[in-house]
Amino acid sequence: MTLWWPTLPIIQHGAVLSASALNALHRGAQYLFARGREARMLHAANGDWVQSPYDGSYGQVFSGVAPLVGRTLYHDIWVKGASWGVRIQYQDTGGAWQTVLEQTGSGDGRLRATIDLTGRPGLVDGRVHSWRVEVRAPGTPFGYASVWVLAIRPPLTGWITPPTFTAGLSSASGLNALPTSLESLRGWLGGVVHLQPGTTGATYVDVNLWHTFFRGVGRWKAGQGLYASVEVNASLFLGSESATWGVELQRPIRSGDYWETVNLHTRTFNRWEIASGGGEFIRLEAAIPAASLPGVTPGEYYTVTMWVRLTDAGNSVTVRRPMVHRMATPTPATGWPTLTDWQHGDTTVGPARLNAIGAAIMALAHGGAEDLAPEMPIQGGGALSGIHTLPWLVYQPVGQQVSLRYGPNYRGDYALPGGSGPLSFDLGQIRQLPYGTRYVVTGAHWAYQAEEAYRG
Amino acid sequence: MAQATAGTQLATTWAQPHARVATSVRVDWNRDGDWSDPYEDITPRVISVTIRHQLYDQLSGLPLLGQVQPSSAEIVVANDDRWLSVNRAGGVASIYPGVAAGLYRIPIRVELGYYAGTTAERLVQFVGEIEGGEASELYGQGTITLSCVDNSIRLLQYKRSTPVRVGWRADELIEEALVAGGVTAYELDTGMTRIPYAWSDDENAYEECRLAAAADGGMFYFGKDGKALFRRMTAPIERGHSRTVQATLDQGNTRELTDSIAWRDVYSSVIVEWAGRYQAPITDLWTAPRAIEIPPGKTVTEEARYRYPAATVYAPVYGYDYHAMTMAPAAVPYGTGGLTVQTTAYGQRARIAMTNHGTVNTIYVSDLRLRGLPLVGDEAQEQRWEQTAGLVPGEKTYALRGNPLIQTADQAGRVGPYLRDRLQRPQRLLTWSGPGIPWVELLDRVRVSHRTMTPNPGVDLEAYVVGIEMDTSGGAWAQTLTLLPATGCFAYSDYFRVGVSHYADSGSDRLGY
Repeated sequence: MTLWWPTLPIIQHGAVLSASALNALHRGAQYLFARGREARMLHAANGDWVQSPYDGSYGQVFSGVAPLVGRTLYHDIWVKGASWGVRIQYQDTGGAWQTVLEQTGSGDGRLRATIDLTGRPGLVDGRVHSWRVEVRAPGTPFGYASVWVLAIRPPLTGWITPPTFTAGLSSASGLNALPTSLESLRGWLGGVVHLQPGTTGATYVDVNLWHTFFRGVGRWKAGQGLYASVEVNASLFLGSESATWGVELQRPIRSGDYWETVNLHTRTFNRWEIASGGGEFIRLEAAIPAASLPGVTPGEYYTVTMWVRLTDAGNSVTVRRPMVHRMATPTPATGWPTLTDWQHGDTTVGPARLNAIGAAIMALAHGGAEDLAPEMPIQGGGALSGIHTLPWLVYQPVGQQVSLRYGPNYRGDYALPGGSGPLSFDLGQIRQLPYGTRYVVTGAHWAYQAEEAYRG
Repeated sequence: MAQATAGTQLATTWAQPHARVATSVRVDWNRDGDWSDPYEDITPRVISVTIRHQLYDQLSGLPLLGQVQPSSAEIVVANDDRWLSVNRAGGVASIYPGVAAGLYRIPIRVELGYYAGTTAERLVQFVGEIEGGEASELYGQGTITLSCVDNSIRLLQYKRSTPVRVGWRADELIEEALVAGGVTAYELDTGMTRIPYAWSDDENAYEECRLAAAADGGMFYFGKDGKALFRRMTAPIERGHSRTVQATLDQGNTRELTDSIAWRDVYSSVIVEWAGRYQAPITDLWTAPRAIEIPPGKTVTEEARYRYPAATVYAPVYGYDYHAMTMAPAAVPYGTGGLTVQTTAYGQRARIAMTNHGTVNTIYVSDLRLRGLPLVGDEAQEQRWEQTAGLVPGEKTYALRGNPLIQTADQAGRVGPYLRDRLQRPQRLLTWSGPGIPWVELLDRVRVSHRTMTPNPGVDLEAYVVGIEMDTSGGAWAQTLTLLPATGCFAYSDYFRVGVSHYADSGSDRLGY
């Protein structure tokens, strides 16, 4: 059962309408509003262009897994090359790769569409399936692809557009449209939240290069900023020597071989700062307000990269556990209604307050000001960063040692059960990990949060 | 809901001083569902009929309105000829061999009314089953007293197990229990909330129905016509026959009126407890303590009782959840050429039937286990609602605890305040005795108007019928109604009723809790 999701009322002709029933509708709308605005981790994207094999065969550009929360696959893949072919495949329950898209072309391109997975063989709802994107070219010049988004979108089922209430005789069917559409929106969320993969450790020594160690992608929500952080350790020999960490935003507009880039944050750190960690990694953090994100459009995908740079030879820097997520902002978009709770005995059961619930529902629906825009990204493992949002962590252990780190500098360490999986772990068992706190999972091929334990 | 009297003169004959009582008692000796076979009409033998329907139990009081014993009837019939004695040659047992073992679980139906001239006009007063018959003989006069229980008898002795039901309403749970128990006639209000997880584990079906009703603050009982009824907590302010007067009880036909307040029905606060459950990761719900031996051609059934209740139970997988072999040793194929396993899973236990299709070798099933997703209980929580009327001195709390079907704060939040409103005021309870009113049913609204029987201002109020006791003997039909005044049971009388009330931004009918 979802935490905080209310039991929505059953409204029957002739029955007394209760304040708690109507307030449950408020709770439902407010829950969905919060879920739509929650701090959501970016998800994996290709760090750069990936080149096709030299022999004209298909080569893997991107791979990952995701639970099948719906039958719609969304992809956003950039391609370039004189001639190229791209295909998207999944692994069915028998282990065979099935192709859902195969496309050829030439020159610069962007493959961006949804694919209906209905009726595809060997797909099981709720099951974690493997996916991959491959690119090929008939020899030189090579083809290239960069996957920005590969995600499963849950369906919106059972949706009923809320009616417009007017003064006059009440009706159960009109009122019942409200809980029905709320339940539909809740189902649309898919009952899962992804984690964000990142490196478990990468060391750089070359000077004057921007070493990109992370690239994630996120769907921008109006008014939301970004939180970015990384753990660093470095060998910086002289007191004056330093290294720089930076965060950049890429807009989905090609600029030469790459994309339009906006610098969001840079931070220089020196040996004394590193020494303050007592030999341990220190965590660098940046909160980037929405105002610092220029020209972003709600609903559009943007990538965020993080890099480090050394300016003095002989030094080295190691980075690990990068994470970037949207920052939750409680301020609703224009048009979000005020939902004032009803009280027992109220005599204001009228269009104004009932239509406010309908307005909230419409805002949360597709195309609304608070569009939930749910999806489950397909991505791989590494250091998986998450924010405790749902009760269960579903994960596939690599071996016996799976670790969940939490607390300041993620030095708290909780040993999750290892072995064969997939396994489900109730995150509520870690008292130091209240809802809304960040954590990092290592030792898992993949992981995601879920409302319910994994059913297989 | 009061019975229809259209086409009869019952509305006037019941109040006439010399109304002639019309009685009909029929017994479905062969249990074929009709009342028209030979000798099924035993009316001429009837000496007296005593019937009791109740929603209010004096010992339990108002908090447990509707959680009472089943309706009962006691019918004394003449048996001078011993025709009803099962050992009498040529008696009922020789005509209907099904009763030869005794008068037990035989459907019975009682109708009472009055004559309009020479026309008997009757309405049904009791439908149930004979639970037993006690014969007696006094000065040569033989009688049999038939003890009868309403149709709940089908549930009272029926224990059942079910899978875990997720998100069902009280009425859905009740309906399932009724159907499983063979009760086909029912009328159920829609429950107010969904219950996250519910299941039965070898539990009494009648008790399950009462618990489900109570989780909604409602009532479960059987009507005069034998129908199972679920009435939600707000039914008295929703149902037409509870909102409009169905009979006026005035001084002209009253034998006795009592008016009392019982201390046990008054509370200064109400506590409602709930305990949620959540679904935990897959685990072994049960493991067989030892290898199971299945002789050739036999089926062995294991009753597996889980460590935890489970909403999802996976059928055991051969080679993973159990192994099977013969003493050869040899692997046993799965299927009709070897071993088949059939699992019937319930909420807290399962029945695993293993069949050895071979003809020679005994099969040994080892390491058998059942896996599933267990339901783990949360800590119990509770909420208190204090009196708002300020009428009860001191502190006296009614605690609604221990109902496993109250699992959410929402449920508690609806039951608690309504219950508080009912209990925070000293409620008068009236008993009115007079001639039988054929059409009145439990929860009907009646008007009590007795201005001359008592000093002014007398009694003039509307009340819900929460108890009906009747007795016919000597050609008379006496009835005592237990009445709960309608005013004060709920905080307001003008609640917003869906489909009846009108939307208005101000001045609409009032919201309930």
